Amino acid sequence: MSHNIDLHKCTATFKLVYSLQELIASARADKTYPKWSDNFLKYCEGTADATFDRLKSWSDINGKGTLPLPMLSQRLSIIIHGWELLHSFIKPILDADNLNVPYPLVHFLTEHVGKLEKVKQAKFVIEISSDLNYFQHQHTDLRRATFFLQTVVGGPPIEPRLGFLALPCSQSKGLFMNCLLYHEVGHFIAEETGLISPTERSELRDELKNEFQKQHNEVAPLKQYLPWAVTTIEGFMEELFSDLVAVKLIGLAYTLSYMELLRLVRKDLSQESLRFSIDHPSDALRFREQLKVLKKDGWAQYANNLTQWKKLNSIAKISEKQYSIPFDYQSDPEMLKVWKILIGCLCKRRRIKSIHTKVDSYLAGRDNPCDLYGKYGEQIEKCFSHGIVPCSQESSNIPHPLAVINGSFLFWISAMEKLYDTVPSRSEKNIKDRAFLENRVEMWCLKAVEDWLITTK
Amino acid sequence: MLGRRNIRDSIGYVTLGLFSHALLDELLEVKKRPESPPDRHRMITIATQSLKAIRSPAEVDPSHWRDLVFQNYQEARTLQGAFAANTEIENPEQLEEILDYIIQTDTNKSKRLSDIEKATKFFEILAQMAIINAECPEERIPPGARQLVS
Repeated sequence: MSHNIDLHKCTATFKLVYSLQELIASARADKTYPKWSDNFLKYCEGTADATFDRLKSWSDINGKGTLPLPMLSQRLSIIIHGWELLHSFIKPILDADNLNVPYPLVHFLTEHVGKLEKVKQAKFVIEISSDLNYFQHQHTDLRRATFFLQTVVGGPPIEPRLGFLALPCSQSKGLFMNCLLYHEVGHFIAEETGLISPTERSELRDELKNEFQKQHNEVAPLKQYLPWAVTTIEGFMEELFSDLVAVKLIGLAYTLSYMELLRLVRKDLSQESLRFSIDHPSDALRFREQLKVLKKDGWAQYANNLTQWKKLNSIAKISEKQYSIPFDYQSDPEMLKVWKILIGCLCKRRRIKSIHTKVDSYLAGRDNPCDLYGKYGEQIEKCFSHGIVPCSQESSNIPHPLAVINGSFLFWISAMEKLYDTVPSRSEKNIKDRAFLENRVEMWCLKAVEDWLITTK
Repeated sequence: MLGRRNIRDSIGYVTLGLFSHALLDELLEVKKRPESPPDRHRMITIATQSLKAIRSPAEVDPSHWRDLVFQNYQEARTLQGAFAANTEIENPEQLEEILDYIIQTDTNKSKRLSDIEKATKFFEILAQMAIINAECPEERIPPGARQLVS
């Protein structure tokens, strides 16, 4: 009887895995995928085959692979959960075929990041998300899960240093907003390198403990919040780290794309920029730190006259005392105290400096996007003004993608009138025409990135 | 249909369940030849290293954390639950000692067999709890706390 039940469970597992394998095979036959997404899908197909073999041997009552019956039932449950996990990745990856992702950007990003010494040969799988937000899925957790799944059922190993980046379905063909993918790359690097050492964690815990003890007489003991506070500050540090990685790798385009995202999702940028959320530092703090990197890299000479640059400078001057806490906690006096300590602790000069130092050291040897923009900026603007893809007949002079990406962004926010002069049939006052030409700039930029990839390969 | 369920949020539990079964396979193998140490003991070694990391976290290289188990909230919580539910192995030190003994070359056969039994029972309980935790929504905890046990 018990064996019949397990036979039924084996069959159910087989059917689940088989249907996923068929789904992948059919999608891969119809579409093409970015290289590492395709590799991941192949990995899933291989794991499916291995799972079938195991199921067959476990369900054979006289076979060699037979497990003790209670263990078999438990094993089938956990294998199903392993596949349920892969299931949650497969669909968003299948949606992100080459026609639905900004392929040249994704390709360039993988090449770009994979050259960094600290995460050499990093590679990325792209997912399409239903949210208007960007994500990085904790790849180390998935890697561990798949490693243990492979140990139990067999099959191919998962690629090392494989990251999972998700972009919103609405931005699947654009460029500007997708510069935000570099922030997710920052999370990937943080996860790969183990951003906070145990010693730093322990120092942070002691520091918070002292601060909480100082408040002991005024409110109820705050010690209970210690584990949560340590985790929250670590999360904030990782967010700042990821911003700085992005801005250092892709330059001003990152900060500008972030401002664009906020314009879409926030009602009031000025007021809301001061507020911390439960898992992110305030935008004011994030912009302040990005601005430091931008200035150090030399962007001021090209951005000084931009409204966005002036806005950045004014946000950066806001005192930390004006930063506010998440709405949910405002009415709780105890949490108000806790958050005040937390923000003070995060904003300490040495803590912020340690994040900058880590970014500098992890990205040593990167190309400075500002220098590349300085080299090709004029050429790029001239091409966009004439409505053509930035290019060159000499292969040695093809504009570098980092220059093209920043050049297209700067052209979009400061020089579009030149394009309207070239294309008089499109009106600057008609939103449909504007959207059309802005999309064209993004497409030309992506084409230029693609040309560079083809030529340099 | 099944309430709010996102398996990616339960990844720690799923990982721990899979890990427990990978380790149980090694125990089943050594149980067949208890007179000699196991040929395969990678999972047992990961378990002992992970238990050591709980004891002295400062000694672990940050870049190695990602290969260990029991280091995040979900896995540590389940491990604690398994110790509470198992009368034969009550704490991480005892478990570490037992697993270490199983992979030693010079050991007493009957002691090794008894340790294999104890470890097998423990990891079956751990896997069972991991499955239950993965399937059932857990109690409300402060945001972010899932990533770290402080």
